[in-house]
Amino acid sequence: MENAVLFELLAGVVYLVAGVRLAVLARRTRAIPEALLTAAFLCLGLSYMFYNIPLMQGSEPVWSTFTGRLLAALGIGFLPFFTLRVFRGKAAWAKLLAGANVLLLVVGISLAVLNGDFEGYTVSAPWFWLEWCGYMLPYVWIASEAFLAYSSARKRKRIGLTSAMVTNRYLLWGLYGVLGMAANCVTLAMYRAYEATQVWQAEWDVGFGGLEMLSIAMMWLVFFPPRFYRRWIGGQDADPAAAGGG
Amino acid sequence: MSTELFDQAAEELARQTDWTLLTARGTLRIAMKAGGVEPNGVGSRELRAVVEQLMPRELELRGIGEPELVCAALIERVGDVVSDRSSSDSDEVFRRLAGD
Repeated sequence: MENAVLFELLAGVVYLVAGVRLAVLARRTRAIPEALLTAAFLCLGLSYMFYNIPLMQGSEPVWSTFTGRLLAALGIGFLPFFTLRVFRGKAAWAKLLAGANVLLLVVGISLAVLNGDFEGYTVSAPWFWLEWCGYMLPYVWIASEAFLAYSSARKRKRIGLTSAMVTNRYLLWGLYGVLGMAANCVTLAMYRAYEATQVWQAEWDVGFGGLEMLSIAMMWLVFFPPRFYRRWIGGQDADPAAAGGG
Repeated sequence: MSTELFDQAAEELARQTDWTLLTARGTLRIAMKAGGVEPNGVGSRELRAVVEQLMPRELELRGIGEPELVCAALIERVGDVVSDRSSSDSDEVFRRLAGD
């Protein structure tokens, strides 16, 4: 459990750092996608803190877990709006999908609270699945759109319309989506085992922690690409100046 | 979403090649797809890149002699149409995300 808590705290710190950086960017550009991602990342970062700081001290108060749960739902609830805005700005089906995702989260959590389930670990309850789908759908959508965009950007890269870095960022964002999906599946297994035994199982903790580490790596490469990585990926541009426009 | 620039380019291509508008639109669409560019809301920079780099081959495949001349004429007529549109606005967002 300790490793998972450490990995999750680290993930929370990365979300918060990325969120603050995006907030600075959003203030400068006044653009909605950055603002949406800022809100999502700050909520997710804080959520990790509420879940894990008490665990570090050996306790798990319900108020803290519930606050973490609400912040996670809020943060993940912003993600489909980012996807909508960036990839499907005017599509009616995409607006409906983003709205439906909010509904899944709101109804799922409301039903859980009305039935006294503040922690959200009750896999056997029907409302759990509404909430779980609300956490899963944004990552499925992120992965689908990012991989489609990656495929199209590879073609644009060949004729100098986009850069290798941007093309690679789509791939990383798609992988972030896949890791989010995998983490949701592991969470499901983790909660199922917890519901049966009332003990967090170490193997699922390790699996979840590993996925968190990979997610952190993807986010780091998207938002804070190190110089060596920029040189490596950027070196694939046939004409870096031509691709600079984006 | 506007397809104004795409429509203009297809009409000009039909004029230059004596093709029907349907053939011209189809050929232009194929070239754009190969370049990862959406006809809906295509920008002038994207259109120019597709016409310069991908259209000559498409025209040659369809038996048009001197495709470079056709492409040059196409660019001259519609390549400089001012358009701030882009079918890949997501590129701009993903460029900004890392502070590029």
